Amino acid sequence: MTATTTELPVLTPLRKEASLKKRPRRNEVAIRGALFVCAAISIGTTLAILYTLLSEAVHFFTAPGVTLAEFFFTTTWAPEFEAYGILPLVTATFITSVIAVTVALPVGLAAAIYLSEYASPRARGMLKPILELLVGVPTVVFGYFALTFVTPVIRQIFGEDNVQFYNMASAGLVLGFAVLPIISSMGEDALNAVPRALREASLGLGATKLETSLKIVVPAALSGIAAAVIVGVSRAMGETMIVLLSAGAGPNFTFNPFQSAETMTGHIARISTGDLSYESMDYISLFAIGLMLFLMTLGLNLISRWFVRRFREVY
Amino acid sequence: MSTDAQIRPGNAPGEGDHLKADRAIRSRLRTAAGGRVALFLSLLLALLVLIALILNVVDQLGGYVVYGYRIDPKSVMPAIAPEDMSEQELRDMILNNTPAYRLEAIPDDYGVPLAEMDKDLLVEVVYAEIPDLDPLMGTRPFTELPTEELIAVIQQNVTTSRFDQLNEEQPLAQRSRAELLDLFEKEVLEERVVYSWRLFDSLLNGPAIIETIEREYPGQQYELRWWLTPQFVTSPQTTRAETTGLRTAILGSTLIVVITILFSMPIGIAAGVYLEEFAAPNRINQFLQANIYNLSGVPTIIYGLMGLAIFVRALGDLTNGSMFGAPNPPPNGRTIISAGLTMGLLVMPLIIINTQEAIRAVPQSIRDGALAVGATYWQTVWHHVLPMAIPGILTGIILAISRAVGETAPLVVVGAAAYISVDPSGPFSSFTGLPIQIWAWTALPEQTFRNVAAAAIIVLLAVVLTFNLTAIILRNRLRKSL
Repeated sequence: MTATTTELPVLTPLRKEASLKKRPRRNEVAIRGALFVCAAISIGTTLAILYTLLSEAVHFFTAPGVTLAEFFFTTTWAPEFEAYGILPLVTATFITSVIAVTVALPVGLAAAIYLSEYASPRARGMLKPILELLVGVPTVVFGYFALTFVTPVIRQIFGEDNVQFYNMASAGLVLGFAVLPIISSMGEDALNAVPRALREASLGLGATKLETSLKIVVPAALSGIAAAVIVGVSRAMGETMIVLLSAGAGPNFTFNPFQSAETMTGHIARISTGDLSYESMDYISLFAIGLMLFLMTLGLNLISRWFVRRFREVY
Repeated sequence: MSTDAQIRPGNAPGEGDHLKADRAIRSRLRTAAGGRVALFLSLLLALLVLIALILNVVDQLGGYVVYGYRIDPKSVMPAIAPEDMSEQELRDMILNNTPAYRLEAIPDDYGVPLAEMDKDLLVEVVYAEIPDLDPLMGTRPFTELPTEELIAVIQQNVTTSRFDQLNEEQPLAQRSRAELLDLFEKEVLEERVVYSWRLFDSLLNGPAIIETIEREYPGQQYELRWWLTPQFVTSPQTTRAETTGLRTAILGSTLIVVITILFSMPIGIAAGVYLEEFAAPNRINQFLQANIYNLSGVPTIIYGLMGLAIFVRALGDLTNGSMFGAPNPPPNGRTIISAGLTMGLLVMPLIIINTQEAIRAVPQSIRDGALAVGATYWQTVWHHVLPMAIPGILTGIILAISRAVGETAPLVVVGAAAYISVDPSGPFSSFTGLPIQIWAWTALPEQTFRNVAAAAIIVLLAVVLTFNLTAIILRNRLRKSL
């Protein structure tokens, strides 16, 4: 045990410049600026989309022989005969989307309830990837499935005379399975957000698990589920390859799902594969349809977000 | 009783009620059990659809096919001069094609009966006596053609480039006779499938199908054909389902995805870092965030229209490479770089949102620690937050790649050419891609193109599902480790 002498460090006197006040750091500011620019590119994308759609759509609506009234209220779309009524494309889009959601909502919601209320974490880990793999299947493959499998089956069930080879029913059905994962995953998020206490109270009063799920948890998560459905409709409306391959090539104003009719997306894709002159009505009318589609899907997405915010029960 | 009633609450169970209640509870439990099964089955339905989808594709991957020739063999066979025929053939030709009165006069005119003539004399008779000789020549079956002539016929009837290509694979002179005959049938006669059966049918009812083939298509070749072969994956595109390949499409897709990721990865990650680490919660940044969510919901075909108007049309001189002095630029901007940039903008929201989630999962204590020892914000992010977030960011990138590989609609609009036989040479070439090819082939009415499309789908699904599975596994590991 020897006494140790500790040498105190010699403190250098503080220079005036080295004050402890926060200094602006040029590099930091530059990096921050560069990162902001990258984030702002997304605004650029939105502006580019809006600009191209709007400018060509204005061309379209100012062209001789095109009126807004004709565009929204007449039922023939045939640019070669100067007939520009978007209704047949819109009805086909709606019919396929409604069929899609009619399939996807019950199945997707049931899957979501099972995953969030019933499945053990282990089972969930094994079952969830099924839905995630379904997300990964490219839609052109779904289109092939609709045309080569679902259409023949539907025609066999309902009779070849009643069901056309290209038809909206087959497209809508397969579209349903394409949007099923998004409905079930958004639905599951909504169900998971319902606090545990509600479930425990219900179970404590003697309700079965099914009663708890259907009568307590689902109503409590209704806003989230509604949002999921709306997003599902919006996705189904914007989907292209399934309807392009199996719903039909040619606008047709009909409400019969067994007939062929072209949707907005299908029409844009089919026309744009041809040799297009940039000045032709065919070309600029695509942007008018595109603008319509953009506004419809954007509207649905905004409604869905508003639903979540407005009606979310705060626990 | 009345006093009892006053003591008990109104709806308390009376005598016998517990039996009723018991029954009610049992029925509720039964409903609950049935409901549970029904919910589980709905989940299984998704799996069943996935299985049906894959089985339907596999069903078209192979099966019995019957071949026929598109080109009549007689029309390509070289005319066989009478000098090259055998004596018997010459005699038959004379007997079958000379008018009867001349046939009677021949022995007198030439001094010997037909049966005793030698070959030179027979040739002379053929030229002198048969009025219209040309259509009668060249009727020998191609299987009897000598090897050298076979090669000559092949050379005459395929394009020069195709002939050079065949020679490059293996010089024709060195190939066996069987190989040459096979080549002749495929390249010159354009052997094609005239009828085909599905795979499962072929495997289960093989003998019955063979019987049908032999009854309905006597003498024609048939086999159990597989459409997904190494040769299919590696050969370039042609216009016929029997010989077409995926190489052009695979190269096109690869180039598009490379450009997509090079463009969107740095910008997407930077945007995610900004929004999560640097953005103050003010109006501008809230708007940025809302805008990104909206962009992720824009239909992909709208991106295609934007790409068509901006990259293809407005920037056409840039995107076809003519401003960079590229040799032989395509006439418009419908090129790989236009497709890659369009796709890059499309997957960017996906990358941004995944980056944000990955960064959000990094514990706040890491940042606090770094800042407390004097690191700047950027140093904290670069040295501590980003390295921890890399697996999550990587998951986003993998999902973006998978999306870019499978996405079809924007490419259709931006102007993929459904038929290109030349491999893409760089960012300024016209292009096709795997999903484009699947779409183009599926849309054709011939069953053989459906078979080819099925083979292409298997390749595409293998790529896309591998990427997705990797991402899922990576993310599940990540959840455990954090």
